[in-house]
Amino acid sequence: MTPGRTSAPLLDVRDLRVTLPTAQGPAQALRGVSFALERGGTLGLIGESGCGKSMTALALMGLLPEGAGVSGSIRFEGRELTALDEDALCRLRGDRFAMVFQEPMTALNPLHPIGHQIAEPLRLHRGLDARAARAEALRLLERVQLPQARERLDAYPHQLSGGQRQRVVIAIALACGPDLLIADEPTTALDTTIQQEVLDLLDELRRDGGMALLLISHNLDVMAAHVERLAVMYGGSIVESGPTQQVFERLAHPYTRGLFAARPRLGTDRAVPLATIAGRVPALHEMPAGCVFADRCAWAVDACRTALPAPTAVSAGHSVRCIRWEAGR
Amino acid sequence: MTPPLVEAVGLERRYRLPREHLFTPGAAVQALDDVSFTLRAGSTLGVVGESGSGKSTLARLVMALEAPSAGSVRFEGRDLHAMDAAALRHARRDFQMVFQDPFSSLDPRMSIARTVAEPLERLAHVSRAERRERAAAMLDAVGLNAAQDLDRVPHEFSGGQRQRIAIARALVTQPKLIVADEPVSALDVSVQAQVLNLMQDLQQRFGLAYLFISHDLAVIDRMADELLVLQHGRVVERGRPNEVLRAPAHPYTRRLLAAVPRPAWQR
Repeated sequence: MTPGRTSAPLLDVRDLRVTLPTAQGPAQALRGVSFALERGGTLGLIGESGCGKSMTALALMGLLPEGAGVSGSIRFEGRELTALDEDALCRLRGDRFAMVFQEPMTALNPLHPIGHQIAEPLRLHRGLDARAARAEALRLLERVQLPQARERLDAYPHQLSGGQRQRVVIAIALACGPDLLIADEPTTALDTTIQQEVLDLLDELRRDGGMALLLISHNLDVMAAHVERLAVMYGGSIVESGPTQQVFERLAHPYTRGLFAARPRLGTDRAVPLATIAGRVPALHEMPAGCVFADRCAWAVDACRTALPAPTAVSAGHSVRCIRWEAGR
Repeated sequence: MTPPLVEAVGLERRYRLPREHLFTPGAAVQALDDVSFTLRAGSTLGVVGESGSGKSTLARLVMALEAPSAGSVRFEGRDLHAMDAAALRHARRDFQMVFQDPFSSLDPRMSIARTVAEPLERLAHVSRAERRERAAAMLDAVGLNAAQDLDRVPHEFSGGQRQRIAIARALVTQPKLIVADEPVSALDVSVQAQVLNLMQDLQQRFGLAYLFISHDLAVIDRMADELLVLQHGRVVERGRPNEVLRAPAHPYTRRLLAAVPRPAWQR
């Protein structure tokens, strides 16, 4: 059965669970992650180190570490990705969905000219010959606004700046016109003004091509500026999700509130210390049965520790995994 | 009148790039160009700018890790770059550095006790027992548990804890100045808040001065008493952060401010 193109979301992730082998035995890195992304839509995954946001991206790409156990469902254009073998995934990866990584220097091969690296997915997935692939690579470099693109086709990554390299990585990801782009901290390694240029470029490319964007970042301000929907991750699950503006205005989950209060902002009173979140993220092998945030939460009650709270509706399309969300406001 | 803690006058630093042709010398890069400032004891000078603006070169000159091509850095009135090696070694206890990446700035094989006490090894009169004692006191000061943590190694700690360890190491010689080069850029938001609060506390407690380098205007606004905006090695704007950031005069400062992302629904 093929779901209708118009009704089904482009990407539908349901109850995704990933178990990783660790020295202390198997540990749950993702504990039932569910979200959907419409064709041409934008979704931000936000959270701190170890919350599972990059693990989610790797699971989508089929790039989980050796020995990882996956359950749940990842449907992309109606196809169940978790059921595909490596060959079938290889045909989709870099073609229908592609990824941009944080560090452009390690994502590029230092030994090959950039034109060659952009041409590779085109030859692999589109079967273009060398000449056609090179012409297309040039078009892509122009599309990501790399200055002097024609002269730079034969340049090596080390001859480019960080921002220019990230443009090349984006060009590679865009080569086959994917329906979904996953960008994992694409601008974290870049200067602020370059960061803005790269994010604006992603917005523009998305608007022109109808591509959906899954943006992973730890930066609240970047999210507020660039995604329509936001999912806040903590301890391997999505603790709050909804339209970005509503999440920012309601801050329903205590962790979202904590993150929001902790970030330094321009023009605040220096004499008042920044709000901090007490305690630390529990290690993977010591995840509690109940709400993972309970031990750091000012509003926690005994009931929080018995079971992982189910998503509760805050308003249409906005949900929170917290049984006390109304108490903290 | 006592001299300022740090006085930099007309600092310049040129680097020569490796030559590209056999018979022509490589091009010269002006990493710093006529940078002057004073830093009073117990206060914070913030430096903002992007990659290649000269921020880290400035830090290296103030730390006397490199000599300027022209100009001078005076620490309590004495020219750091005119001192002989023994005098400089002795002076170094008064200024220490904290780096951006707490994963690469700590030796993975060294215990926390040794890591924190290492700057004291240069000071001949401090006994082994006293070193351990001072390391323990510093770990307490940065909010770690000395009894538990002294004999552990860096990989047992999170990024935020490692940055606390790096700060403890910088504090152990009881310095008057800490040069902090992007000290919170690699940390998560909630951890970043803890480390910034800690640095403010320590400043009050020990009367520290900071040369605080960051690309994050909000962080600088919170930490600095005075602000230098560097572009291509030159100071393009300076002043009190709340004034400079509220009414930036230089186009480059305005560009930095404009690059701070704004919510889509407020545009």
